[in-house]
Amino acid sequence: MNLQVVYCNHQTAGLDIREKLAFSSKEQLDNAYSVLKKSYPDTEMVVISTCNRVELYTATQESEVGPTHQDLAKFFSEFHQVPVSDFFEDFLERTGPDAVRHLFQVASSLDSMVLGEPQIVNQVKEAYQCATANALCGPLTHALFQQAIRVSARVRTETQLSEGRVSIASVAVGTFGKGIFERFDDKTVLIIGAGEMAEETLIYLKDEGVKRILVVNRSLENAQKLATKVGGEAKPYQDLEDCLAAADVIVSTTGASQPIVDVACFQRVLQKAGNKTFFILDLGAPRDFDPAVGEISDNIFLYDIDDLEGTCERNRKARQKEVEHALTIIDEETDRFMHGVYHRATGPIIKQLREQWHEVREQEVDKLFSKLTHLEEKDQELIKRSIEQIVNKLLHPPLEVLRQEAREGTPHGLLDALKQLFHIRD
Amino acid sequence: MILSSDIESPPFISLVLNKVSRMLSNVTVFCFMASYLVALGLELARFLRNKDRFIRPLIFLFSLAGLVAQTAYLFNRARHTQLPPLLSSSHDWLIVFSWLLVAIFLFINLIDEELSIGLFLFPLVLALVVSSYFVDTVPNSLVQPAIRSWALLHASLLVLGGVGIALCFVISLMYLIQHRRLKQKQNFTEGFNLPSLAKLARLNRWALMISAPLLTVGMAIGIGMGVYVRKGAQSLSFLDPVIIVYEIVWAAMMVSVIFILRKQQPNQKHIAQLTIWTGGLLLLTVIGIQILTNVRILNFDSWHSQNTSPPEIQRPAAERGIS
Repeated sequence: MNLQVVYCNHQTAGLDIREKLAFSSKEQLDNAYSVLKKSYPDTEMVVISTCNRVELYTATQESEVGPTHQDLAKFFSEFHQVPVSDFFEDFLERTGPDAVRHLFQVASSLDSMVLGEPQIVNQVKEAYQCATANALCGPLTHALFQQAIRVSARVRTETQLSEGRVSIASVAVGTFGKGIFERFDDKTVLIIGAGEMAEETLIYLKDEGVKRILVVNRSLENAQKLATKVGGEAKPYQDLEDCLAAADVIVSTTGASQPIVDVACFQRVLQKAGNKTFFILDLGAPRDFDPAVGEISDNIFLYDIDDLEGTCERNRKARQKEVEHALTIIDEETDRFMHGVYHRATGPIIKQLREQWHEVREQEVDKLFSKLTHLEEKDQELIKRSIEQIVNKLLHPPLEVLRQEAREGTPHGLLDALKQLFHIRD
Repeated sequence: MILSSDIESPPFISLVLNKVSRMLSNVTVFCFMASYLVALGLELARFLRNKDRFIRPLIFLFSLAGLVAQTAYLFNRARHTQLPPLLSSSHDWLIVFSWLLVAIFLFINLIDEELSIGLFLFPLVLALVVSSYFVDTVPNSLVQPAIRSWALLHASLLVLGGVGIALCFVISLMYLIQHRRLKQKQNFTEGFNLPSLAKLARLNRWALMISAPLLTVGMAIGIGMGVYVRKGAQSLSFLDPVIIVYEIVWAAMMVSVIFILRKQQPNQKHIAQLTIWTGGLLLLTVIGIQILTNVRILNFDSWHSQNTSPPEIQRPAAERGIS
């Protein structure tokens, strides 16, 4: 049994690398799954791709059949047309209990940029559902991801990680937005994109007093849905430049694979808007705004996800006690999960071995009783019990060793030896 | 043993009052300068050591102690010279200037305790207090009783305008630091908080709008008084370097005010830079030229630096009210 994760996240790699490796749309992810399925048919796989991370979890029953770290790096390189050398140093691997612990930390938002943010658990759920829909989940990944969602709920309940500033929007507005604007109730906010991140950002901005909200999305229908929900105004995508000119605060959260606003576009916007101040929050990965847009004028303040890292780190330090409590829970849950996994690996062997020996015992007892017909039922019962105890005592040492070995990991060598010695078949 | 009847008796009260009065009369420039120096040190500690709940009350306490000492000093000076501090001498004018800045600091501190304005204001306050060592402590003999009210108005408007310009300077400095932080996408330490760019721009605009007329009217009254004095027995030269420099910087400041008013959406960063240049230049030159003419590094006669005073009154700066 082999569990592995290869990943690059906001802690290991910059946004410039992450955006190259991200799966920005469902179609792209489905394509990736079909390529992976063809290459590694016996491997269970789940991809988590968010603005802060790209992670690929793999699980196999046999350690030999799964893809290696290099194989998966090669897949990312070929799929995204990025040379391996560009990202391999930032593309980490974890296996076994470390991989499980990593997923539990991710789902519990301990690995998130904004500690305690609630969005990540939904992203993990979505990733798991998508992998299931693509028929890439198996018993191991099912167990792993279902457990990760449960662990996330436990961490949320038993710690105070979710208190305070727990969204990207709150961190961005609190750190930078409030340094630019004195108030938000007289500002026009433009949201580009209509996903969960856009909605969460809008809810926060509405709490800050924003009254005029414009929603622009490639799908006008989705824009209208979000606009209705938050009391905004949906605009067709063709009006993007006019909306940019009208806005003071711009939040972009699209899944576009290329920047949707470049320098030329924003210079046209400035001709319409004049010398006013723009606070632009680009939460897309890949980025929606060309970073050079922020250099056009002194009054344009453009921030992407990575620019919030400093504040998030400060936030994390302030809640170190809660982090430690959450890590204790995660360690405990990881041990429990791994114990279950190893038990699952050794369980069938133990069961077969027991059945085989007890079958032999019953056959021999039957033979014996057929010869000793004078025995009373009471004596027969005593003999039966005695032989059963002998079998159990003989089975105990190897099974105990197996159990002990299983605590450290799947004892492949021991299992193979038992199979060969006692002719146990899979 | 002191009986309660002794405490309540008038001789005891007068004794206490006398003691307090004697104590306050011993207040020197060094007393409040030391208080402000400690307050600045604490502001720096707050900046470097992030948040510390004990530092802020200490800053407030030392600033308040300094202000009380400075008030006592001004009171004593006024009693000694029989003139309001603003009319007395350049030394007193600078002490009033710094007194106003400290009072503003304490007021702001009460409204917004997190704001790190002390880091910007205390160096200015200390510069003014140190400058006061190098200018005359002798009352201006040209302030005749007939024009005393006008002279008081002239000095008051100039000091208020000067305070406004000093605030513009500080606000603009804060604007540029905040702008730089936001452009470079950095965080300040927890002990360093500045208002938003929008608020700083608004405050700067208001401070400029208020200071410019104050300085203009103050200057106009000064010219009027100069003309009046020229008609009398004593003469005043409009080639006084303090007046010339002041007029040049005033003109530069008016250009920046017009620049701000002219544009509907001005580039606030440029305004802040312009304000720092003009405000800084105004403070530096007006105070600097007084020092230079007083210590005779510039060989000019200046009405403001009191070179027309009788020789026996003019003592070297080092011998004046420093101890």
